Amino acid sequence: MITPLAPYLPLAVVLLLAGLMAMAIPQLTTRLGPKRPSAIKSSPFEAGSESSGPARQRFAVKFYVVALLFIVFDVEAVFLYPWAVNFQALGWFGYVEMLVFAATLIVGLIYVWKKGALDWES
Amino acid sequence: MSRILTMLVAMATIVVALAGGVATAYLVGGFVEAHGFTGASRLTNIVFLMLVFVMIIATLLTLAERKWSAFMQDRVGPNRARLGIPGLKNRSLGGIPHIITDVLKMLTKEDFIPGMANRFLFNLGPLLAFAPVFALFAVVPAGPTVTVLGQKVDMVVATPDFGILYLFAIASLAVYGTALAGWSSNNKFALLGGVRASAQMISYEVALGLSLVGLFLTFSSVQLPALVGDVANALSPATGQGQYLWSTQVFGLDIGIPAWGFIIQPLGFIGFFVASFAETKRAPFDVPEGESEIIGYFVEYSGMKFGMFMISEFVEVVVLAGVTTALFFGGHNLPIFGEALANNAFMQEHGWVYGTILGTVFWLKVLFLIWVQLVIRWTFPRFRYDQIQSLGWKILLPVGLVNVFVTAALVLWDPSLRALGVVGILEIAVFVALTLSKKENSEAGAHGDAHGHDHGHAAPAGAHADPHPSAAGAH
Repeated sequence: MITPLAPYLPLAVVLLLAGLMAMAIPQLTTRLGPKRPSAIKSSPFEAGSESSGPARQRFAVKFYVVALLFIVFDVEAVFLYPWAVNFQALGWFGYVEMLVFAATLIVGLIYVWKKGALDWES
Repeated sequence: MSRILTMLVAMATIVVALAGGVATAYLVGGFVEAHGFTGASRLTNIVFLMLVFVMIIATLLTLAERKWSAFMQDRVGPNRARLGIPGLKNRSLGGIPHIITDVLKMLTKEDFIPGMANRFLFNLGPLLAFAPVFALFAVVPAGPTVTVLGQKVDMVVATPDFGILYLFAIASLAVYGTALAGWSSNNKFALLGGVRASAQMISYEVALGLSLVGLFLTFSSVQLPALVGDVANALSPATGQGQYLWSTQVFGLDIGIPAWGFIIQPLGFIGFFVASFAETKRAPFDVPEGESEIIGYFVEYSGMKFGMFMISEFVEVVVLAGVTTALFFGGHNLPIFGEALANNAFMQEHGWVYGTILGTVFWLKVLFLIWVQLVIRWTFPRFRYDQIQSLGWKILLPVGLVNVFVTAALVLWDPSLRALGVVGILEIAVFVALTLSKKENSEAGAHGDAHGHDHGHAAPAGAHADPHPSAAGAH
């Protein structure tokens, strides 16, 4: 256990094990279960009424807005981590600097709030 | 009286089973370190922590949740399945045989893929839902580092430098599972459930990330073993959550208020718990799946593929309890008497006994937090989707940001963390006061509503205003 990668060996084993289990367990159903396909069964389930076609349709733009907001604010949170770990060495100078950085994003948050991007019912 | 006795016996059995498991894990770890290669105990920890502890608790939880919901709704719960073992033939055994029958049922169902589905992505969905969730527990420390058979053994699978960032990274992979499951089914209900689930999960990921920053800057680390810390002993001072904010000695035993996460970071704790509850998609955040009323993203899945979604939800519950214990409830540390125990000559001589006691403490805290999650799951009505989104963006995100900078200022002002502790305890007091006053308000509101109605029937507050009682608001 001398190589620098050694601490990551258990993680690699865990990820491999997780992948193998996730692939193997559903296979059991495929092997053990019956196979009786029919045309009605393979149509999409729509609460009993006849299917009105495939689901490859457009959906509300709100979901895309959420994705965009997520990128902006999650990147902000990621920038906070290295600062948080070195925070006690950086002291008040680092505090004020991070406050300035967060302030620009808070302005952004106020902007999207006022624009109504956070209101789901609109 | 016999009921109380049964409960006590059951609790004692649980404690003994946990202690036995932890002791075995430590002894086997020491054995393979001594007779195998250095680091071999990490590999046996995979077996003990992830396959034995997490998976068995998650499996039992499938039953415990149904039994607990039955208890809360004044029902008996599952009790029909019987084992054909002589002597136990006509005993329901608390419903435990139902776990076996459920597995057999899921295994022998038809593995069905809808005609219009994308076969590859349809099969990938449950895989991506389960595998990341299972791998999450790898960085959570479930016990102290002790000396067993002359070897240092710790109760954690991996301690990478990036620590908790591993949790965030792997947990967000589960979003792909739900999104792919919803889209690839080519079913309109599944698609809606899938996009709802993805939007909910990524919304709360922001609050989840922010809520922990306060804890990182308090302890200057993102590694879970460092955040959990150790109590003071003859060689080293206390670190992480092992330290006391205020302490005193009574008859040679140390008592005091420990620097546990939920005391110094109550806002961070609530933000983290709510956000990760939303990530598990359980009620009151179960808009994406809602077993009985809303058709969710896994509507087209059958057999064990559906089972993967279901078991990953229960594994998530266990992992969330484990992570919350490590981050906010002092991990394996005792609230009081920790130093007296660590400096006891017998405990220093027999490291595995010390490890077993503290490891059992860790799992008892985990069981407690699992129970809290069950209570929340069966107490709160489902939130509306717009309430979910505005809770994430308009409350948790600003509160998380404010918490980060208030915590940072307090830590700089008073590095002994006592200022942080005082503010934390004040915050807890405000929460308690708010909770109590809220209850009176809503009761008054319900009376007002009932009087306002001409019909005079006692409608529950809010239910009459909404045509769908299941979608009624949080109050």
